[in-house]
Amino acid sequence: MSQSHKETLLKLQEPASVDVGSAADYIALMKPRVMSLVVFTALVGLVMAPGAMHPVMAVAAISMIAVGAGASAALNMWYDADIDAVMSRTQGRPVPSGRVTPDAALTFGLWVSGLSVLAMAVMINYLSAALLAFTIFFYAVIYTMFLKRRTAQNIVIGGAAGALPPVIGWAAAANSVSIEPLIYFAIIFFWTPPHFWALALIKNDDYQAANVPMLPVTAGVKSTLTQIVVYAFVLFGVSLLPYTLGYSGLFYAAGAAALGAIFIALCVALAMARDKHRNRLAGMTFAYSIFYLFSLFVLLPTDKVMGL
Amino acid sequence: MNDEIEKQEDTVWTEELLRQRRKRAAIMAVALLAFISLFFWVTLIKLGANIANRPL
Repeated sequence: MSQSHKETLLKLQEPASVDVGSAADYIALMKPRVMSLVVFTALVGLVMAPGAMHPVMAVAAISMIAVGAGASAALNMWYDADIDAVMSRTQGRPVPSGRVTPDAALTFGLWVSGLSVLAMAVMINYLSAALLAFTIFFYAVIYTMFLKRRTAQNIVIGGAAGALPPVIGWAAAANSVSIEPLIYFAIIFFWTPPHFWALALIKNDDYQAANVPMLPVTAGVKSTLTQIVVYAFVLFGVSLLPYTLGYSGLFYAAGAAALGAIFIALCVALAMARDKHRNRLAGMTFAYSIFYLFSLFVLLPTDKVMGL
Repeated sequence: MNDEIEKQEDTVWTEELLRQRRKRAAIMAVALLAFISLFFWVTLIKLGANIANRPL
């Protein structure tokens, strides 16, 4: 841990030296909105896997993935408390606002991480437990502690952590990993950069103030816009892989193509927008990207059920 | 350790803070019970399948 980071954490401990966090604060520590997307994509991975899983086992697997994701979020909030305190979007989080002490957040994150992995191993299988442990480690250590403050490619590489839940879901049901869940991984992996860079464009001043090397901060707005468009095209191609490789039917292909075309159109419009309209379009791109990913993962099981 | 005890003694535990703490403890108890019951049901399912699949 760097000296300045330690100093900030010590300062942060002053307003709440004793843990007075409420249950709601601990729930906020687990980033419930991010968790909901994790749960949903993991559920799709589980449903798409071959073979039937007992509903109680499925509930257990999804619960442990959710808890593990929440624990890694708590570890992220513990480590990032200093930059969260600087940024307007994150100032109200439990640690920078002083409602939960950094020590309490760290203890909570470590215990819940360990518990989720252990329970996954005992209740489901070792492969899904190992993947869950790797995901938590990748997000909390590789992304949060190493990538986020050092490189503009932070969310590109770090996106792997957010892309793993459908693979964990698949592994929980099938006790193996094949090409199909790796395609789901690739979809989320290539979706992450344009999604986050759209947000980073809006919050550019925040990231600059917090000294986080997001792409708009290090490479400038123009370069970021070009990369958003490039990733949108790559994502379009990747999103069609389930069809081109024969895992999904025409229903999925048509839906994915239509949704992807809208996303590309939005990204191009954002890249061509004048300065005064850019934030509005970036907000629309960010919001649509969430809808886009959610819809792709709705189309996959729907197509399977329809069998077209 | 002593520092921690001193900090705890310095904290003014208002009625609101105490209410929050009781609520947090209750939610923790519910979460723990849910976790235990999940373990119980998973054990029953695993046990059931193994009994059904055992060599006769």
